[in-house]
Amino acid sequence: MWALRRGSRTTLAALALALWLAAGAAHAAPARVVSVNLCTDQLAMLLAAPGQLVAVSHLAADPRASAMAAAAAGLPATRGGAEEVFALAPDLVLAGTFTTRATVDLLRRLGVPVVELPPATRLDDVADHLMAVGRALGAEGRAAALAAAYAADLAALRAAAAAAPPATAALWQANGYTAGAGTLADDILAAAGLVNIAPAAGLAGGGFLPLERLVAAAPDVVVTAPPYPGRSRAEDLMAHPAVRALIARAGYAPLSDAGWVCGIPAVLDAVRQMAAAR
Amino acid sequence: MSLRSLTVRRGECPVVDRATLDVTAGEVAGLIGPNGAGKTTLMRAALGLIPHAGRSSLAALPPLARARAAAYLPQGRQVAWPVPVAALVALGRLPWGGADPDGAVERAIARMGLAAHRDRPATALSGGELARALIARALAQDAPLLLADEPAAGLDPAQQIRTMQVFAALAAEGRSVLVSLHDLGLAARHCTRLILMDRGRIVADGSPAAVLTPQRLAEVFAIRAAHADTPDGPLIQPVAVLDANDPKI
Amino acid sequence: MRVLARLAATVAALGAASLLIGPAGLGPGESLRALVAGGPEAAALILREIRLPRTILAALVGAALGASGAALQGLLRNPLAEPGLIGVAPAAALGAVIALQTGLAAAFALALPLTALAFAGAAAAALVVVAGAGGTLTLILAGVALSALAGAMTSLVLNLSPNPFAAAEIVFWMMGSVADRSWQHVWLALPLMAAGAAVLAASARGLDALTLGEDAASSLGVPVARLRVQVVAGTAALVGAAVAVAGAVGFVGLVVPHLLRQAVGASPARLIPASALGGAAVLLAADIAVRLVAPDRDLKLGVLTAIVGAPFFLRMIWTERGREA
Repeated sequence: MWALRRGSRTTLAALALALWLAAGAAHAAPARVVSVNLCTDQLAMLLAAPGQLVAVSHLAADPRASAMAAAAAGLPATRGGAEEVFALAPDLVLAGTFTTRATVDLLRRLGVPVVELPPATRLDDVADHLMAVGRALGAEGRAAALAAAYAADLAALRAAAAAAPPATAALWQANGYTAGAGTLADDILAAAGLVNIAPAAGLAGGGFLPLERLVAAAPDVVVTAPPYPGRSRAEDLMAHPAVRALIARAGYAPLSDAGWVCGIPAVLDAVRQMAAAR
Repeated sequence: MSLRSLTVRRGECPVVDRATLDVTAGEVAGLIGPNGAGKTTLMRAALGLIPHAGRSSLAALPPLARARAAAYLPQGRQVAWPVPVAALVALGRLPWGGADPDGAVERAIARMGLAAHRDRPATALSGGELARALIARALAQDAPLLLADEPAAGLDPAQQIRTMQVFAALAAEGRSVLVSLHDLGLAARHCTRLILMDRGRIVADGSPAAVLTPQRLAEVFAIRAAHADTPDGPLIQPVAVLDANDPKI
Repeated sequence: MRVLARLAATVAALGAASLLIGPAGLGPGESLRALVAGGPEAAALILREIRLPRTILAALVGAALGASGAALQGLLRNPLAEPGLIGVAPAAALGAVIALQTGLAAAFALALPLTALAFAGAAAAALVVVAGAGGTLTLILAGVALSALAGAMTSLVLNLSPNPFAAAEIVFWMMGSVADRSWQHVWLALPLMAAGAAVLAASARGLDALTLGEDAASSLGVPVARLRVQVVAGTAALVGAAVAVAGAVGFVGLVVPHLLRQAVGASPARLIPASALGGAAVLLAADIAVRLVAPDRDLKLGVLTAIVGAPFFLRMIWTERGREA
């Protein structure tokens, strides 16, 4: 089995070499890319040439977390351990900056190139991330096209939102967790023409919004996530009578990690959903 | 062992007050006195275990030399771990780096009648057995001087007598023993010399008969005792507590 | 000594097993060849650069925790003492958490363990001062206070963390793991652990004497105050290094000495090497179990040692309940 993998690695390397000679490119594109982070998984699936992406993380096929679960279903998945990844003989590993530190360090020691991508904190990051992964994969052309389309869509959405009357929104997740200024979620709301109440409450980054503050702020839209399987006390707070009353009065929009967590073009779906919910 | 004006203070008040004392080879010196007289503190200061003023020949020695010069049997009989008796006794060889060329450990086990218990965990022994095991540990140290704090407490009469006989045997070997005792009868019968302490001071030092006078018993212990001279030696038995207002004082 | 030989054989067997298990699916023969032959082959790299450092680190961390637990129990004359008690482990964890939260951990490969070590060192220095000046009770109380402080600061960092990704990383790190550690971690931990082990070895006889209490130990020529400083410094080096490279792995330092005490005749001096070997065996076994039981769930070591250790420990104290008293 091992011999087989190594065999296919040589074949692919030869293929890559042939492509490189044909294209006369400045550098050879990586032939075996392994992604170990949910967000780089999705960017790589958008940009990789057929066969270039060898494996993604196990989260990529989880429809709760991944916007591209169906596409990931056809790819091998790893848990992101160094041995598992190294055994796939990758010539590039894509990781998030918060992937287990030790794994990335060990892979680098073993001579595997690793490109780390920080979590996106603004919608504008998405185009940059597309370009970064595109460069890493040798798919600059496709990346530039996707980034341009994304930027155009985003600009159109922002223009539409600017024309609409202002409204307020609150993100309200388990335990009262919310996202304040400087987060991707905040930027999604802003692009939909919604004013996030959390920054007004003084929150930067992620944090907890007291129930009283939420009710007092009386947002026009409450955005919450459907609970995960397995009851948690943290999620009970979302069924609090005050929250239910607020939701009954204001609008309610479902939040799914799949659409909100990663800086990928699909976040614009979340923006559209929010714009529709106001 | 030689103490000169040994003084231990706890706060302002002296717990041991200018104690001057020599213990010489071949004697079993009994240290007596009521609770709080300073017997334990005197022993600990003499060994240099607590800060003190004055001079102690033992405390002046470096730790290892001191450990070879004097064995100490503390009053508390706590053993932290279920160590087998033989291993417990062998701890007495630590000042010699664990070496035991003369079989001191086996001799101590035999002397204290512990042969049957040698493999039992110390924590499983009865109170009396443990007391004997700890005495054996001090004997295994094979030092010329033994400081024993209340070794007889909690022992049955036979074991009390045997323990005092072991001390007498040590003295006969040319060693010396300083032993604190509450049982005045035992002290009078088995010690060659008694040192009487009261409120931190040594108030009398001499032969049992010279120290245990009715007047001292009254002053220091506030008791009256019956005396008798028997073929086995002098007997003393406390019989009554004296009231401070008692006209007989 | 037969006990030590048996434990050493167990550690060797578990170490070998640990080298043969991994997701790459190499056969035992192939693994062995790759390990011995070396070279640039992927199989050799997996064995020599991924599995070998992991195995060695598991054994080292287990040994450090076991030996520290035994030494601390001996010093404090209490079977409930464990390395976490003196506050060095929580301080190391706090250092690591701060490194993760501030992003320092991403700056260079050893940033996290070095920060953890710096914090462990500061806590140890504070304790050594206390241990030198006060008695055993002072030492325990200072340790408890330091633990509480470091624990609260760790919670505070988590509490105030504006980044859910960093918070999740911290929580996972705190559960303890030796997965994907490299030789760098081994070389960082090994000298400190060796120094700590040497200091503990030098304290062994004194700990035996302490069985009889501090006065008796002093009278046997043991410098008790210095012994206290030695044991605190030695365990701090061992535990600080262990936590810095592997995170918090609980229960080993408490249970292993207790398990082996009877077998070595309760002597604290002999319990230290025995617990080192026992701890290494337990952690190797746990790290094997982590990979075998649920290879795709990324179970954490610290979780497993407590889940398996606690019921086992309860059963043991239940069967022993009549024996002491």
